[in-house]
Amino acid sequence: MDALGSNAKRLELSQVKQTLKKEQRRLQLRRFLSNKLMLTGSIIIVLITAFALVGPYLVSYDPYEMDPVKRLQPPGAEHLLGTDNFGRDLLTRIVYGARVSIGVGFSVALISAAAGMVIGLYSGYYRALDQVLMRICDGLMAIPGILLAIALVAALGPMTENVIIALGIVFIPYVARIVRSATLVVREETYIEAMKAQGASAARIIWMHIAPNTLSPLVVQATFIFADAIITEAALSFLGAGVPTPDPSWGNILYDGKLVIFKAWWMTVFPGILIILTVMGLNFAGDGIRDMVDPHSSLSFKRKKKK
Amino acid sequence: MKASRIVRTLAIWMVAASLAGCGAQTAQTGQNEGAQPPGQGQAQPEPAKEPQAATGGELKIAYQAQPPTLDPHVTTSQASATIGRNVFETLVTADSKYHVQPMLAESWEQSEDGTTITFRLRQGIRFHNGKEMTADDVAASMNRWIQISSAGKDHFTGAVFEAKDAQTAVLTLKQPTATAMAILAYGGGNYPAIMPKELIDQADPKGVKEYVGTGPFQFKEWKQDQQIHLTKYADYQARSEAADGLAGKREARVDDIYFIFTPDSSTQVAGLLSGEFDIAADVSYDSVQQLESNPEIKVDVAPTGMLNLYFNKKKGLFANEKARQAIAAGIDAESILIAAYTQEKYYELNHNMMMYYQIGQWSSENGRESYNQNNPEKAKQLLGEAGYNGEEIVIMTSRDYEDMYNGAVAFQQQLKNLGVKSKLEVYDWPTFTELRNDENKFDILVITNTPKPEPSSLAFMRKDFPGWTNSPELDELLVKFRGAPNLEKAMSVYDDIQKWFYEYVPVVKIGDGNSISSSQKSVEGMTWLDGLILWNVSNAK
Amino acid sequence: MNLYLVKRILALIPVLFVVSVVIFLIIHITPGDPASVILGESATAQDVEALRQQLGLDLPIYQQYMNWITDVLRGDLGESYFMKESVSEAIFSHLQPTLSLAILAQIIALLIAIPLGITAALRRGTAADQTVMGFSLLGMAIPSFLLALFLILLVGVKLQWLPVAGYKPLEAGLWNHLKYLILPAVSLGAIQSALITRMTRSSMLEVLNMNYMKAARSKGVKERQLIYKHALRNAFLPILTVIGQTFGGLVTGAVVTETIFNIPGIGQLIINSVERRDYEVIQGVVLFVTCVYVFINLIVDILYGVIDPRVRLERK
Repeated sequence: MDALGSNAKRLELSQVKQTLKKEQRRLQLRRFLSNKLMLTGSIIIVLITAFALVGPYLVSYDPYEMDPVKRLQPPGAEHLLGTDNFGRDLLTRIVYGARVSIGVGFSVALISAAAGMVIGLYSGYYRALDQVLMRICDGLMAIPGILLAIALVAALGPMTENVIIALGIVFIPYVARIVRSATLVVREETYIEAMKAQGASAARIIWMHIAPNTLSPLVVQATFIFADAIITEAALSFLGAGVPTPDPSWGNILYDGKLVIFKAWWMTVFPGILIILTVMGLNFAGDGIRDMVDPHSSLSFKRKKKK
Repeated sequence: MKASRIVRTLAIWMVAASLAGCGAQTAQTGQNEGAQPPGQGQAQPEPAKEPQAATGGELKIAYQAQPPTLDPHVTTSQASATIGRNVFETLVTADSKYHVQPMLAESWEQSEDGTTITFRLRQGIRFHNGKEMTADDVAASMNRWIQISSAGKDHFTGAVFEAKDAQTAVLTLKQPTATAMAILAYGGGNYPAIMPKELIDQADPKGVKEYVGTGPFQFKEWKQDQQIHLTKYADYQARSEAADGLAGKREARVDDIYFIFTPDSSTQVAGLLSGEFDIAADVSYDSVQQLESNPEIKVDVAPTGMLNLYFNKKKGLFANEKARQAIAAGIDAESILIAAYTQEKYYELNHNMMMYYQIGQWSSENGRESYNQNNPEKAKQLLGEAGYNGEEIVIMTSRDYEDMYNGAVAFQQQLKNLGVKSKLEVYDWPTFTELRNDENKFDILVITNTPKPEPSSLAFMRKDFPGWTNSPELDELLVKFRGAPNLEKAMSVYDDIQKWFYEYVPVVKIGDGNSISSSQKSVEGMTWLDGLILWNVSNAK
Repeated sequence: MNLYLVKRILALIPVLFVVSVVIFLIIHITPGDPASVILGESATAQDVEALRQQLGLDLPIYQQYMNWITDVLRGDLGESYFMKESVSEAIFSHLQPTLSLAILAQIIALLIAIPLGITAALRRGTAADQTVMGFSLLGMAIPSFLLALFLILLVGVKLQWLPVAGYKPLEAGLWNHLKYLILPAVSLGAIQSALITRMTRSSMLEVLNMNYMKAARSKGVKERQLIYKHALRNAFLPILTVIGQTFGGLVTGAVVTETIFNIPGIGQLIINSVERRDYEVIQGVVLFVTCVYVFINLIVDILYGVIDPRVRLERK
């Protein structure tokens, strides 16, 4: 009797839960659609991702194939966006460059989010660890990001993987800080105290109960880091310290473009516009997500702006 | 209240800190400038007055690289030579045909057995600090050069300079060296400059503390990362022979020379067009069109170096001679040169291991048919014989020199056509120079070599230079070559060395490149030999 | 208050320690060293090794660090391997261009941002507001080096109004000085202005909605006086914070800009020194830049307290 009753109750509860969830999802969708920033940002991101993924199958040139006789041809019928200083098709280079630039940006966001989360959670939870880890983070954040990245890439060697690692290291502290402060807040909650008293393991508390609460600021921050990483990779490659040539990346194309800026505007303008569009899309999305998960925050949310 | 006091204290503290910085700052200025040496100008006969070109004014030169030091004993840097040789002079020098001519030496004499060379010095030569140059200064300078410079260590091991009397310096060699005079006359990086003995004695490993020479210009000031300022040396004692290459009469026709460090080629071009610079020392090939369309500007082409592919002969595929010959057979030199130098005007196909403008002196028919074969079939066959089975070849180069990098990109593309898998690794120059010493790090280096006065000075002749040439035949040839009683006799050995060059293939010679300098029309008389020559250059505006 | 200041400054010590260790380690594990750069293009490995020994670069790395850090603690940043000057001289001689650039960029940023921000706030929701906000969003998406390239293309190459690169010190005349700095300063300042515009707008909005503003308005205070005397002053605090943050960013953000425009400032000094592996200079400059950055933030915090006594400095 008793068991039956509780079963029925459970059934009822789960039904309620499901309708609630559905309701929530609908609400979220409505909020998403009414959130213009979020919508525009997402559209831009989807378009550019499609450009990077599908583009290579649409272009008819090889990004490495050189034709010295056709160097620096202006945009025209044969080469839609013109050719570069080796006579390579610029559109093809930009399409393949999108894969590299966006790939680097995404990997960096992923790595710094993952590592930053671990560091943030543990230093938020253990006070002793906090002292050491946060001092190191402070130190890393005090060094101008671009300089740290240049130095790290020089030390590790010019490989795309190393560019990702270097940028990851640069951005980890920013994630760690945010996750840590979220952790500090959650840690003081009564239910955490209660779990501790019941003897729950630290790992369980951290991963099952604190971590989920840090996710939304983490996602927001990761989106901005995605954008910042694309900019910083471009700046690094532009200085000749980023993705190694002859691989195309937007920054690499700009580097070559700077050498011939008096002669070939197209090498600067086209990759430049793409960088701006991508970063704008990501910024919009980041702002949008933030408004969605935390309607109270507006600009007071401390945004990091590089360069 | 308290807060504002803190602000004030902080402000004072910061001002104090910046003032302390002010006090610590000292400009590096030439010593004793304008100090009139006593009795100067009476002993020397006035040089015959010729129809004078315009004098006075200044030359502002946009220069691509700041040298580490102007002390040429320490560094092999070409920038150091181009700037420094206006200040420092050498015992002997080269004319435009690379023949050895006297400079600070009046004459020289080689002993019968070829092991001693006696230099008679010119009289009345004064350093910029007013001190008269004697054989003591020459001995001190030359012995330091022999001990610490790369060129000195390579070719003059065990040799020593001694002052016999004030005007006579004697060089004693371990063995007869046919190439000795040619190397002493070289005016490029690591040239044997004569400096006052006192400064040589005070020098540390990074170089002499002050730049005091005997040249037509004296050192005035070096603003780090901005400019080097040279001024006319009023008491310069010019030679009376007609100017030819680096030899003969040198005259400062402008009062001031500024080398303004402008690494970016488009900045050099823009500054030249706007009239800010009189000379742009190194402009990109792509800006020539723009410069030539301007009636106020002229464009000069000068040889810059030899583009070579260096094989790692210690380890890996290219330890095998056949593999090296395969690459030599397969490449299309011309299209690599186009990628590196953009147009036919700016490169020369040349099968000689020396540069094209040295053909008058160093030329051989040997190897002509092995150069620029562009024969992929032969290459694939040779690669098969060498046992190549698809492993990845590492090509290494530096982006700091545009021609090296662009050439390397084109070369990699050609390797693909030969069925060779490769990876191009591009580093900044310091990393490159370190990694290239490690035989595990690369298979092929793409390097441009600066011209050298004679073949045995070429980098790939050295066992210790990256690539590690190790050939008993070469050793024998070099003994014969250097041991020849004089340069004329040594020439005949050159034919054999050239033959060895195409059999052993220490490097694949791609070709010779030119660099472009550009100047205002008002700049007259600028010539080139192992760098721009800036004496006898006038700038009448 | 004094205690707070002491605490803040003490807290800098571990930060600077971490910075010094990190930068020292990275620089020393990077291949290539000053010796090979000094010796030039065709030196051999043996020559380089010999010079390394003479310069003390063959010592164990911890010993090199100890030698360096003891000197730094004594106030001596060391000697450049490459240039004939000490590191502090090198910093000082490269400081003027960077300062000029940063100040000019900041002025440009404020000239753009404050009027735009106020206009947008006063005409909230209108087309003007939306345009301003649109530009500010665009500005936040453009990296300054890209804007620099676009400006070079437009103003330098196409219109040929201004020189595209180079630098003249103030002694060469004010116009000569400014002529070379305008493009780089605009490229840095315009980007910074995006953030300041948004901040100005939002903090103006906040103040305008305050009750005392409504009261003042109902009392008949003139609109102009209302905005500039009451609203702007009160809205200034958050704006100041952003200015402080962006100024620190300007000094460091100059690295790429100075390279593009060939301005011999701190940024170019670092890039050049990395290319030359001039260890002492790299370490010294990075430490210096870090100090500047940290101190600017500290000063902003202090000014905050000075301007608005209500602000507790202990706030997080």
